[in-house]
Amino acid sequence: MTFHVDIGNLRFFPAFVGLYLITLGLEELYRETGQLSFNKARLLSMAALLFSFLTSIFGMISEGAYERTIPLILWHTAYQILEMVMFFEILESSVEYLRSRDSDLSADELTGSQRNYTILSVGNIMIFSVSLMFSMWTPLTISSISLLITRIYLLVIFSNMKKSVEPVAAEASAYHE
Amino acid sequence: MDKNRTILKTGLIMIAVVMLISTLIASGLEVKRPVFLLQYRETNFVEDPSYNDVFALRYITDASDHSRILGISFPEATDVSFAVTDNVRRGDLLHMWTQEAEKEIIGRYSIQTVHVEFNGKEVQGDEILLTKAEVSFDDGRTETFDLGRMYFYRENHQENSSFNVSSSSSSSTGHSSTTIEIKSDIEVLDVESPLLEETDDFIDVKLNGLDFREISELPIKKGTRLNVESFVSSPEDIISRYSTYDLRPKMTYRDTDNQIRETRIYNIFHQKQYFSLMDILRYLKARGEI
Repeated sequence: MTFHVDIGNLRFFPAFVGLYLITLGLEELYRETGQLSFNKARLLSMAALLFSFLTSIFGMISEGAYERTIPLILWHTAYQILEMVMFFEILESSVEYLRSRDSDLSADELTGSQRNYTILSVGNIMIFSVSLMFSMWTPLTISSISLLITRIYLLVIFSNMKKSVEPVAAEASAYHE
Repeated sequence: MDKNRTILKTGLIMIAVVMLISTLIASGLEVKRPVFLLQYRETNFVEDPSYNDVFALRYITDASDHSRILGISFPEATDVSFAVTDNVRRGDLLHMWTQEAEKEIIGRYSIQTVHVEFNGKEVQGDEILLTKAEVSFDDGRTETFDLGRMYFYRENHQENSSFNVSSSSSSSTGHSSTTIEIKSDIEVLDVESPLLEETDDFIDVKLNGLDFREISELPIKKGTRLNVESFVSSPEDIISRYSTYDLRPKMTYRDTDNQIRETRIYNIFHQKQYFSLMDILRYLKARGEI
């Protein structure tokens, strides 16, 4: 996962290169597990990739000419929603994978993290978008920091998930052998 | 898992509702074209081909309006070439910082400043009055805007041996005072300004404690002092509060040689420095722009 933080224009878009890597990873997971939920997450990541790519191109062409216009703020919000739903589906697919491997404890932990992430993201998106719409600098700064913290939290979730999934995956490969 | 999906769906609905309401409010508050803050001022210009006089116009526009002003002209002064400039005291380090601050975003609005320069040599006559401006933007449109009443008068350097300005002070409360040492007997005949009558409610000018309206043949003896005081209070109505007032009333006097002379009284100034969203909304509503 990569970050692309552009403080100058207050854009918090992950580089489409990072999203491309996420798409490749989900494609691999879908191929290995055959779980339809990974494919759903993959399709969402492809949509986010396209969204991010178009935003980057538009940003380069427009050179800030449409900054603070209502359609552009709505576009930013739409992107943030898409990204939130994408990560929600990735987490849901992971929970489903853990349950299919009888790792219920880890799955329950991940479900709790997924809930926290969703609540945090919804709050952040609402405050950030309204603050951006009405140039409310204090809530905008607070929600920007909160968005960053939420992203770090997501990294922690994935890091912990890796630790939970590795023994399950090792067990599964040993079983296959 | 179902619980999380319910949270997600509820969250999405909440975001959609909040953004719909925000979009409707923002669209309702949109200002379709720039609104220039009115100015009521008397400003001198010099007659020097190598020096251009510069004045500033402030306007409120939508925060999403990124158009730049390329040119400006005034129907009341078609014989003078006015040009938009950013060449404003470039050598001043502090001003280099304030250049950045010349675009202030408040809510859905942006408060911007445009500087206009002209050469006093081109002005026919001793005074011009500007009330409207024709402004051309970089997107090709040209629009006419009300400006208020801006008087530009030719600086007339008169030899003045009758008095000497000994001290001058002004405060942020709107009070200013100028003390003039009288070197030979004079008789103040009149204090006048085309803007004093309409600023009656919030600007007072007093000469030795006398209201300027009561001044008529006021003798002032050699060796005494003439104290000129002005009091500017914050105007009650929002349009006046956001307007700039820079008055320089003309004091006419007779000196010992029986010559009629005139001088200007300075430091009568009001300009809103800080803007609040609520005040901007009230102002735009009062101007009929939203």
